[in-house]
Amino acid sequence: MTHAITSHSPELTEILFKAGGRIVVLVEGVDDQYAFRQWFDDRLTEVEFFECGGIIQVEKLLAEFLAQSSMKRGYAIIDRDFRTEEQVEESRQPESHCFVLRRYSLENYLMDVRPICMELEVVSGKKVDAVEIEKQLLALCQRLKTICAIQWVCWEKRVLYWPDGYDIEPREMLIEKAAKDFGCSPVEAETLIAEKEDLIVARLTDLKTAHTVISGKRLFHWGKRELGFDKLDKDHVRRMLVRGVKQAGLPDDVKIIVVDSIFATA
Amino acid sequence: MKLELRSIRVKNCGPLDDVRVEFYDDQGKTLPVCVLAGANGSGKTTLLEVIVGMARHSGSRLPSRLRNLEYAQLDFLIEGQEYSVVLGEKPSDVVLSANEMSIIHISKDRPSSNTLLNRIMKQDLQQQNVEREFPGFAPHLVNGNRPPSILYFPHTRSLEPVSGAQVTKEKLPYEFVHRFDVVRSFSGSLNSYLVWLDYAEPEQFKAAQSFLNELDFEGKTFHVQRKTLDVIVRTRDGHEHKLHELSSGEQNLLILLMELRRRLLPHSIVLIDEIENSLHPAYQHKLAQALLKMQQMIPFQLIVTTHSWEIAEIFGASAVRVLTKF
Repeated sequence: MTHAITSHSPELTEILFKAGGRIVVLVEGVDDQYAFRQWFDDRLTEVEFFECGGIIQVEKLLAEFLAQSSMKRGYAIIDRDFRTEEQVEESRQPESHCFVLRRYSLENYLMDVRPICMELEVVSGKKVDAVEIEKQLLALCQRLKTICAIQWVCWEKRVLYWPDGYDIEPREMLIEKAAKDFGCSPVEAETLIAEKEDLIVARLTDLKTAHTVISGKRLFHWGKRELGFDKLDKDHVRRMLVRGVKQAGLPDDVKIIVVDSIFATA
Repeated sequence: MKLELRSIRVKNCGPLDDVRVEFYDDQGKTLPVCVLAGANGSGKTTLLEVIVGMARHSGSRLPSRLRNLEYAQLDFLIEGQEYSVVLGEKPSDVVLSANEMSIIHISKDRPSSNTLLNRIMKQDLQQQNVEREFPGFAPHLVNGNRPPSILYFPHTRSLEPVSGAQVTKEKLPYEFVHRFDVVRSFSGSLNSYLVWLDYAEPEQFKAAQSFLNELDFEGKTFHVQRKTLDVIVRTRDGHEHKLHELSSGEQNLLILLMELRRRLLPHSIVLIDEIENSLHPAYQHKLAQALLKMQQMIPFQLIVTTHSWEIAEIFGASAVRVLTKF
């Protein structure tokens, strides 16, 4: 069959140009791209990760790629956000090209006990107590429950998320602002948010499940300030934690997606 | 006269299984610049070699690369009229024009007088008054009716030292397909050209010299040393070195732009393999912008291959054709 070589959208053209013959993996943002490239730097001869600037662009580009591709060696890895466990599982089917992370977002893999301890020890030069870090992380997740519940409602109502560094307390202030954003009364907002808070709290029994409902970006923002990285630049801390995750051993979920699913089928 | 390459189809030639590349946009307009991209071994150079080999084929034997292919077809527009140059056994999906006059069949086994150039020469050539319309370009090709040509720059581009007795009188015969060469015996070397111009045509030399100086090689200026018949380069701080001692990137830029200035006839097709050879991104911009500026002065179709996204961005993503299968 003749391979007709014509023009594509500028975005797909750039991806095809840079990928060469490698497997294409689309991710949402530059931070995701950085992490995946670092974690799989020894396999960049066979795969390249491309940031698309958000979930909408990821879905659009993946669809364009697959529609025009004969070899179908294009995939996407997206944040879980507030998707259910069933939706995550559904994305892991053998024929899938779009994989949903099991944790809320990529930052939830960075904000884990082992990489944090390893990098804090580098920064402070002292031994760090892993149990204490886990307690602090869980306590922070508790404090983030209201703003994450609001984010959940925003996600359902397709309302713009608040900035990652937005205040997380007091609760009354958050509900008042949410009511304005949702276009409802504070009482109605309180009901909507409390319902999500209950669902979140039910998952805060341990850090592993907490990571499925607490926004990793907010956890990173506040954790950086409160865990001992406060004097360092945000991007520097992110790079350290990406390295820490790699040294501690890549998360099983990431390995399952990239190695067992993408590399195995591409 | 306008010569435009519209598309190429190649079947079973080196790394190319069966590809068709279009050199026009969604509206059917021929792209002024086309960027061929793809991983190593995807067939970019092969495509250029097929274009050159088929376009220049006349009495001689075909290059081995072409003799072994199954089918190739080049579609041209000559003054708006369609012509196809075809080689090999036509695949079942190919529908050629019913007008036999518009098809130029090339045989793998025997020489043919039925060539693209012959077909062009049969067209009613209008006077190509290059000097008047496009001052500075192809000053030695301006006399007589010269149809547009195909200028090909393979990926190996460097200057060989030529001086003294190796300098020859500038003779620039018209070639329908010109392939840049780097061998020392190449009679049209740039060194020889500049030395000859300085000796025989001082006005032309001055024009060429100011063209070079305007390219701004970090303040370097170009001169001819008459005693030794050498071209010398003077740096900003007063040091001097020979032309072939320029860096490989500077040589690449100099060769492409000087050769175009010297040989480019209006509405020609320029093929450049690995345009970014040895060039820092800043110099890639310099070269690409110089080519675009040149296109504004004298119209030509530019087809380049590259691994540099910088180059692709300058010429625009819509000009890019990616050969790698995906």
